Amino acid sequence: MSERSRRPEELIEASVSYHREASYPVLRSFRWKARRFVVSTIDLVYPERRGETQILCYFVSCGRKQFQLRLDTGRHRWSIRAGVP
Amino acid sequence: MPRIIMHLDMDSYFASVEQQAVPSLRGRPIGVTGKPRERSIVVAVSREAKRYRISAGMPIWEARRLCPKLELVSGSAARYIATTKRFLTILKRYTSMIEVFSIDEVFMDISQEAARYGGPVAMAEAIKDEFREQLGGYITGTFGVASSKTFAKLTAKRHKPDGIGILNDEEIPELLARTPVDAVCGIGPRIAKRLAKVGVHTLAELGALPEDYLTREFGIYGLFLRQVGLGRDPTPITPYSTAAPVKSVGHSKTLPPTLRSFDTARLVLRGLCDKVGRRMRQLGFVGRTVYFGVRLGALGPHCGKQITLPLPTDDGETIYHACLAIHRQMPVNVETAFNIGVSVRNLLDRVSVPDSLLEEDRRRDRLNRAIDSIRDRYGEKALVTGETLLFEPIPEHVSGFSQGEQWEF
Repeated sequence: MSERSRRPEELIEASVSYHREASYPVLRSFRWKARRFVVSTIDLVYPERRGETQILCYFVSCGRKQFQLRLDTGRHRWSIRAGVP
Repeated sequence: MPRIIMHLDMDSYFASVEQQAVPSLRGRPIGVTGKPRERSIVVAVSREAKRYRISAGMPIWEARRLCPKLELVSGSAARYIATTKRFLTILKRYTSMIEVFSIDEVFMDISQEAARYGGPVAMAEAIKDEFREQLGGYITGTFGVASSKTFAKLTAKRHKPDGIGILNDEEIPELLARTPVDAVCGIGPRIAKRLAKVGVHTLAELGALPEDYLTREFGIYGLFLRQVGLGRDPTPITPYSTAAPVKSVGHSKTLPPTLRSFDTARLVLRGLCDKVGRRMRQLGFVGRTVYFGVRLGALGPHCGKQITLPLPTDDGETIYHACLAIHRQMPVNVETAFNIGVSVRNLLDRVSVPDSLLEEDRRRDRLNRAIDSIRDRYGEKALVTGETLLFEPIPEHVSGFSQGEQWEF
């Protein structure tokens, strides 16, 4: 059984770009555990709502590693839910 | 001009979305489930798992027996709804005549638009290209094109996965002769069984039955059966923009076997009533008729009753007490309940109903509005009744994925 949803979140720094044709910020890279990860593919992005706060959930691949990140669009804060197994 | 109906059925939808999200799941047999228990079922399976003859709705223990390396993934309604909204946005650029049949199935009337794209096949290919680009390569759909909804759906089913199927009208007689009646959407096992008793197994045999007989046996539905048997289905597309009016607001929940008791059922019921009241207030309705029902066993009988309140309400507490009153009149032991459900019918627009003059009712109303504004801001779990906290041992996603999320297009 996937334990993805139970992992704690950790705030991170991320670098994004905005495109006219993309409906969400395009994540380029992020720093986690003193390492910089360059995003090779954004596999899936979807919104979730917590009260009036909209969270954008990102599933991304950095080479062979996969990560689940979240953007709190109200506070503009990025967090990571550790690597996806 | 003949109708051109296109049916889109997404392939292994929930599983494909999970595989799109997590590349390490791709190419592996996975099952999407809402419940972390062996007694539960897989609600969707990947195309790799289908090769092991695992199907949606199969108990986890049985799926694991067929494929021991089956990986189970917890589903997320938010992921599927977001993906559906995204593919509908793409489809809306091709035609406005879109009927959303389910979260992963759509009918489109492309009679006007097909020629502009070079025909239905070219149109389906263009949509597929956009899906690849915007949804990702792992979320695919199968297109079926025919002159009616029933046969477009049937055609899509025969070209899965990731295919495009066209059924020309001259091919229909051959299709009718080799298609069993229960392959058609709308003809379930019970109707198929009744037809088998009179020697009808294929659509062609169904078409040969006299209309009188079908209407006598199946009522007005017999007319639909007759049309399908003749290879016709004049049912029009109901575009997404003409949403059906809300007739009732309800919720139900399946109780895990270890938590089936009167006290648990009562707590679950309170939580359900709270949710129903909250949704009615969000939708701007009040209602007078409260229905409470229980299902005894997974495939067991359903037992339910309704009462009409003296005044319309959108208050969860009032709905809860109405359900308790119904329960006292019902000859069933709630401890054997597999699933309990509550709904409010006979809906009226709240603005058309005068406010109560009783101070107690007005106080409850003010309280409900205050609770709603807190929940709107901080989420559904920000404020709950103390008793509802006892509801926690029951997994949030016990009876499916929706969890009160709304999806409107």
